[in-house]
Amino acid sequence: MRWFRSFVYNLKQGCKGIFRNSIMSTASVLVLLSCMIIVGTFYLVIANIEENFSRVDNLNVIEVRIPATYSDGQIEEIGNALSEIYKELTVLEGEPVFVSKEEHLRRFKEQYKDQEWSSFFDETLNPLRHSYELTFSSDADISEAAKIIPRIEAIKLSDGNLAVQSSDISSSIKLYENVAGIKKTLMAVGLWLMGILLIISLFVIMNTIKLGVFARRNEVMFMRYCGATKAFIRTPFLVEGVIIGLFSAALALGAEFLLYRYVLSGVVSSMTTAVSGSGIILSPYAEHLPLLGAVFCAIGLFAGLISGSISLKKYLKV
Amino acid sequence: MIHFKNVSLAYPDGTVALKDINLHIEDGEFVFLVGHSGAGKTSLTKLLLCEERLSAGSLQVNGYRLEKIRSRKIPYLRRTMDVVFQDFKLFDKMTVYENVAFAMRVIGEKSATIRKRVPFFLNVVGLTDKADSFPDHLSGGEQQRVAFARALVNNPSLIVADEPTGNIDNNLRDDIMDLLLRINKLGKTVIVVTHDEDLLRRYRKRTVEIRAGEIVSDRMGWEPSENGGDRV
Repeated sequence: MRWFRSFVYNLKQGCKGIFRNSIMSTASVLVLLSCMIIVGTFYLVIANIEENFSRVDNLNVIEVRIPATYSDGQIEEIGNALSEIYKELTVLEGEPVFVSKEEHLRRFKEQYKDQEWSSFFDETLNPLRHSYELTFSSDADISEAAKIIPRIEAIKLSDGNLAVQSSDISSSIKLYENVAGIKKTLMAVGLWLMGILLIISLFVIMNTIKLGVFARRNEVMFMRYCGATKAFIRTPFLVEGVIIGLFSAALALGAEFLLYRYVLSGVVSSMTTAVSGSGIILSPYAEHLPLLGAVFCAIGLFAGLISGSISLKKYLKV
Repeated sequence: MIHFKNVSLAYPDGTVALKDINLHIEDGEFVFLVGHSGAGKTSLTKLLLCEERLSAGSLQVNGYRLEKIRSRKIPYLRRTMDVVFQDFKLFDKMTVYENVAFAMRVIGEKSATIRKRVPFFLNVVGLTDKADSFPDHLSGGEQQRVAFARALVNNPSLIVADEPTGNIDNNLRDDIMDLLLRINKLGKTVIVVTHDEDLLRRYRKRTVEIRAGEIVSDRMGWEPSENGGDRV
């Protein structure tokens, strides 16, 4: 029970410490808050890009259109060659799927059923072609997925001619590449900013705690002479750091909610208006709350504990 | 019990503070440690507190062997002793009661024990009626008595008093010495670090003189050591 009494005593001392240096404590909270808001905003933007991207169908499907003049045997040859590619490349989700021109027509009519002109086309007037569809996994490494296209272009028929032209292959790999690039850039910028701000936060919290240690240096020295353990001396300052960290995390979650609700949603709605039918949807904030909360608390705890430990090092040598 | 055997202390900059110290102090003894400034008195006190580690020899203090003590054991060694500093080191923002209670709180004592022991020791030093006063409102002698109450409250077996009569007038000096002698009669070992010759003459106790890091005399009562009329 002695440790429990000491812990409660130190908890009180830690809380007192925050108010002892109220200006520096506020500065620490503000810097840590900025760090968390930047990290959170970058995360929310990236998460929403990914979310919206996964809503769009067929972006991870490569379509190989078969020239209209090809015989059934040649179509089968292409199918076999595509199966070989599937066996070799792990990014593909399944065997190539043959889609007849009749199926394409059905899909086409379904997609444009509201348009009058769609009724001109039927089985006797069908300009569409048979095709094979290859689906790569949506979380695949984009550079691996890009290897599929040259492999398809290199397929040769038994007569030695190339089976398909580049124009016969339709894919969204370029779009995927662009989005992946944007995500990567956002992530890198976010991480750099987070790193820099985290270091600044550490210094500010460290100085806050150092001021507290300096104000209590005689107490700290006396505690050592009385036989207080290092843990006992350290605890109030660690508690002070942790409270600053966790309080900043709670504020950051609230601030992020307001930003998400009023700023980010405003930006998205203006984008939706500008790009007609872009249909960008913001995922609910509650979906991100557990992860954001955990990350903010982790940053807060890390900053608080590290700064608390470093600030006291000098005073706990003996 | 304190036992120094061939103890030396050298600082990282090469300064040799103590050389080949051999000293034995039994439990319950009263010892004056004398020497002029820079002689090594503070270094010797620092060794007792394990604030410095000895460079050579062996040192036993209250059952702990300091040449091989682990860092995490040092707080427990320090709980067996207490130091009363020359400047008292009282906390201005705490009352007399809180100053004394603080020494118990930092080693995790129960509130009930604190409530029982603090008034007892304030009574021992004659400061019961000053329990709610702040140190700034006390005289030098009273402040010193608070420091003694704080040193006694955790029931240490060794009290080291650093220049206890340095800051006070002659009347108070006798009060403080009476208090130290009473503490000694309670069975505590008392080491008084001083350079007050008058004090040494009035109270004939075991006196250890240290000069240039070496013990030059260890005898009952005070006489200035031979060579050159060196005064403490």
